Amino acid sequence: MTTKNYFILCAALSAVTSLLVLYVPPVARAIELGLLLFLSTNAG
Amino acid sequence: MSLRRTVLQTIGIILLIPSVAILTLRYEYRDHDGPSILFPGGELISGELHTGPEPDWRFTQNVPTIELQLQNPTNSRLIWIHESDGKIYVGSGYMNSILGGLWKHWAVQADAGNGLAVMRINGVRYERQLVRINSGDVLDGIAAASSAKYGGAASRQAIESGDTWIFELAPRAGQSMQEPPAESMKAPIPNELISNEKLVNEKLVNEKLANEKIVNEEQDGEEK
Repeated sequence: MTTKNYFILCAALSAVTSLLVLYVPPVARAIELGLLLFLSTNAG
Repeated sequence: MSLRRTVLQTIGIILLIPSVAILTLRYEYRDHDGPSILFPGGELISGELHTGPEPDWRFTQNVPTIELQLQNPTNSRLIWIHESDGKIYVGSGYMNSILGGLWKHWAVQADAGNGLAVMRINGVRYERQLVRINSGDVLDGIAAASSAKYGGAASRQAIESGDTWIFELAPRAGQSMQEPPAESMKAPIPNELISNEKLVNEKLVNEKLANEKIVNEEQDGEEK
């Protein structure tokens, strides 16, 4: 993949991720739960 | 070369998606009515504002965390609460570490600023004044309460060395039995300003009516 296409892909993925987090509450909850699980497992 | 490039690009995407998600969540919560477990929130808006005498704070022994918001800045976070001798305290650890410097801005802001804060417990908001406690025998009671509730999070030694900062959530001076300060501290508007405002409003209305009249006359003229 060329650098230009790669950056376009990154921008598109970032936009889709942000929109999902902002407008699909279950996605936001799932991500937060996943983070919490990760931190509670690995912290300390 | 191509394989290495593909692997790096894949790693980049794997790191990008969670980073964007975390930043978006952080952004989403910044004006939220209260914090989430992981992200600070905005101003505490909902919930009845407590007025009247000081409650019996022993009920907080069964409350794992409270929502605490400084008056300035108005972001809020979840925080542990300790009760000792009828008074309540919150703490901030790791203050001598780099992590603390990056993470615990609120404690520095509370200590440097006026310390005015609002906390919300079980849906009820309480206006408080954060007062830092860094010496005295009261620390023994706080350390014991912390140990009993959270397993020794704040020792007297850590508090006195400045590694853990403890703040008493004291009632605001002269407000514990009164109306909230936002209303009660508002200065009355002088009559001169009120009459000036009336004059300005009247002038604006008159100008608007005059403009409408001119437009109507122009339209009438065009129709004729």
